[in-house]
Amino acid sequence: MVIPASAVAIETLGLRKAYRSVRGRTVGIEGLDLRVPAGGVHALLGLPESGKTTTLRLLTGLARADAGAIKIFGVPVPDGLPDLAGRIGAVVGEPGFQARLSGRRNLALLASAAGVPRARVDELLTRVLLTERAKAAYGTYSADEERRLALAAALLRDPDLLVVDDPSAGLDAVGTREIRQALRRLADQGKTVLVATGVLTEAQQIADTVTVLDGGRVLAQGSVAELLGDAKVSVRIRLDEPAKAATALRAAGFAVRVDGDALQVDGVAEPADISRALAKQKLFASELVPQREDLVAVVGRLRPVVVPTPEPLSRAEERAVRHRAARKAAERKKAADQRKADKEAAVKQAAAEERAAEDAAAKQAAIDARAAAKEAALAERAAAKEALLAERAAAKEARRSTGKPALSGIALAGERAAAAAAPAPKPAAKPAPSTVSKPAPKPVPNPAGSAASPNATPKALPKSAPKPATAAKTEVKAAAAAETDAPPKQSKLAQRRVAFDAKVAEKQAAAEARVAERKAAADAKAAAKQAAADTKVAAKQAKVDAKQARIDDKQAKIDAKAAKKQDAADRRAARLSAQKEGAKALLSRRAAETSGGQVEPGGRDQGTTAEAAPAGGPKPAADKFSSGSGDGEPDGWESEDADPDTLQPGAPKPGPRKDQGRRQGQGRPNPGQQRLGQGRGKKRSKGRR
Amino acid sequence: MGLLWAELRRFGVRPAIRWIAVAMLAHVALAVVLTAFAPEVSTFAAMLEQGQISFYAMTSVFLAYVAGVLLVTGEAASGGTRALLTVEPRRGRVYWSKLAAAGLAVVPGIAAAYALLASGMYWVHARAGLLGGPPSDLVLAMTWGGVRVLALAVCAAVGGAALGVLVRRWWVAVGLAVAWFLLEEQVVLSAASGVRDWFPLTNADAWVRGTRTVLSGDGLLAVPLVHSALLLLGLTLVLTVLGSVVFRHRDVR
Repeated sequence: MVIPASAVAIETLGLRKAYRSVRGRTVGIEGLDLRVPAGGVHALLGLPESGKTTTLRLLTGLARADAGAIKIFGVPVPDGLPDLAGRIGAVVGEPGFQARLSGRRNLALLASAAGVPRARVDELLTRVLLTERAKAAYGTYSADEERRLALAAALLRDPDLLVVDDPSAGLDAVGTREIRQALRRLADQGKTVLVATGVLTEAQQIADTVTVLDGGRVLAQGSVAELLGDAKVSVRIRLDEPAKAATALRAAGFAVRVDGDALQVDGVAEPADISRALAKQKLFASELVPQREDLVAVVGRLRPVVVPTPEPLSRAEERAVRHRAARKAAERKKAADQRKADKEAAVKQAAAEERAAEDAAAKQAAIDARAAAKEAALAERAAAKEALLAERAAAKEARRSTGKPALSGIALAGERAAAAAAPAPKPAAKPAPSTVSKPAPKPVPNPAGSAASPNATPKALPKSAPKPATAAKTEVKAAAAAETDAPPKQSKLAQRRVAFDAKVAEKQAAAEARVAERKAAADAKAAAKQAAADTKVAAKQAKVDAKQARIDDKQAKIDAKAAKKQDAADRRAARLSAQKEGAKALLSRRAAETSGGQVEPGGRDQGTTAEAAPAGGPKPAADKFSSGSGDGEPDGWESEDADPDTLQPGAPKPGPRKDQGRRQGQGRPNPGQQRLGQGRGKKRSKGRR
Repeated sequence: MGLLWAELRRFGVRPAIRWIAVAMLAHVALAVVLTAFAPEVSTFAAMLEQGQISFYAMTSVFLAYVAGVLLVTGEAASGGTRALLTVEPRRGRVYWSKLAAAGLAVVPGIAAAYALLASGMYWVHARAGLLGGPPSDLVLAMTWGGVRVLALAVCAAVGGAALGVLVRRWWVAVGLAVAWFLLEEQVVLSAASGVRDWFPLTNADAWVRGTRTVLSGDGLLAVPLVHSALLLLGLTLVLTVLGSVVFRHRDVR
């Protein structure tokens, strides 16, 4: 929308304002180009923090712009603001009235500051419907009244431009309606009203033109109908009597449609009108939902879709980007190298493991082969030995009985030896190191086939079985031995066997010696440990014994003390019983003496006498009766009243007692004494409680 | 004048200002009462000459400074400034009217406090017969002392208002004054006499005392008074000009 230059009330160009604080810099508005046409209501519409109030503060000179220019009625602001004094009225932020002064006084002060006659104050108070509350303190005003007074202050100079920030903030429905109507009336009178609001309906209802702000920039500006559409909404109503409500609403001029069990009212300017119309008919809606586009949707709709375009970078930024790219490339290369190295290491590791497995298998095969060879050799040696023994036996028998040539015996022994050696495998050849496992060498063809024939000569043996040459040699030697009947010489194998056995025995002995040594060492260690443990136990036991001894000593002391105490208690009891006896005797004597019934004139009460007795003097005997009846008495009582030197148990001294009795007026009858004893008993029981 | 009147009215209705006025009067009343218990310590003429009365008056001067600060700081003050600027967008006028209001507003309180102090002391000593000089001379000295205290209080209030505009927060302005006082107290003890002549509080004290000059009428002793007056006036002017520059270009909250 193009606004003619002549009809522009406010014009800003590239206006910019930023706020600096300790938390940093906040941009209030940025490059604001605003054009407010003269006359009518112009709304600055935007979400919170969109820069509405900042714009108004800049326009009214309360804040200074960082950049840009402002013209109001063609006068540059803020330098030309003094020329505009009287043409601009503003309600921006709190009005700053004094709470203790009345509304009228506050307005009068501003009027005097602005040079406005006092009559204008009354006029404005009447105009904003505050005449009745004019004399009340401003602190007692409601939000609505405060707003109206602020509006009156802004209208003091009958301005051409009225700037109002958030006119309906904090107001109820009635107040909102009134203030909107008032602003609309001012605009209708030809004034220019600039309203900053975050309420879409407010802009739709009262504004002619609108500027939508977003993030301190102008999103769109133009007429309300173009940008925001019709303010009228469709309202969905639910209530108990829809038919009756529909009739009532139609009568009130609403376009009503029935939508199932609800009513749909279209083209509603103010949903409160529907409530009002229903309430007049005593109908109350359980649901009344205005369905319209909200400000967020409007801003979202108007906000341009910005395709991010790369901005040319500064040298420093380019350098930084290059550095970042180089760093990333280096990191990537490093990661690739690392991965490659890891892979190679894994391959090497696998190969090494494979080689190790092969080596292990080869070693195992070699060990197996050596074990098999050893076993075969052992079997061969055993067979040879057996054969030798058999041959020897045969030779002996032959010598003894038949006298057959020894050669036949020898042959027989050779046959036997051959037969014994036949199942034994051939000693294994050296295993190839590369082979994992080699089958055991084939056993030598059984020579038993040739040896089975009894006619076979021993000479034939090497031919048929060339391998066991040692056996043959053994046989020859055995034969020679048999011929000479000398003790048979051991073969090499036997010697080796013997040597081997000796070595084994030696090793065994060494191992046993080591084991024995270790065992001895372990035994010694265990014995040392045991000794240490015993020592500890003994020390502990000694400590325990010492403790026990101390405890015993203590116990003995305690026992001794207890015995002493017991002894003292016994002695005390004995003394008391003696005193009791003495007192009884004394009383009986006194009773006998006073049997005439003589009583002192004005004689004192026994209890009073007992209490009035001096602390150092002896207690009355009755007191001792009551207290000495079995329970223990404090030591003080004993030290003061019963001197053990003078009052021996069982030896009462009637002389002094008699005098005491006389002094203290103890010639009273027994009831008085009993009362005293009772009184003390009560006192003590109280004390215990 | 309308602006000044509006500012004075706003100044007068603030509870803090009333409390400050009460404190001024209570302080001097307490000083008089304490003197009444032992008037024989010194004669009234000696008190004037030694500057004891002026010493009591310095507390009132400090309270005038606080009142000047409170005129332009705080939520009520900033709201009032905003309201004034919407009807009267001339910032210079608003600023100078504020400073003038601060200077004028403290005059009644300071005058009343000094009058109470001086007359009370005079009465106490006259009753004890310890005036120590001809009454006409004493009254003249008292009057001149009062004028000097009043002038200093006006300067303090105006300077306080200017400093309040500069720092915006009353506790900062008052704290600065207290901190400066403590600093100067520490420095004065070790400073040379040449340096000492340029300290504001020392000069304020000399200005308020000025007893020897007045009593003797010796013109030679008037030099320090002029020096102190010029220094204090210059300091106040610097503060007010700084405040004016800042007020013209700063955003109103």
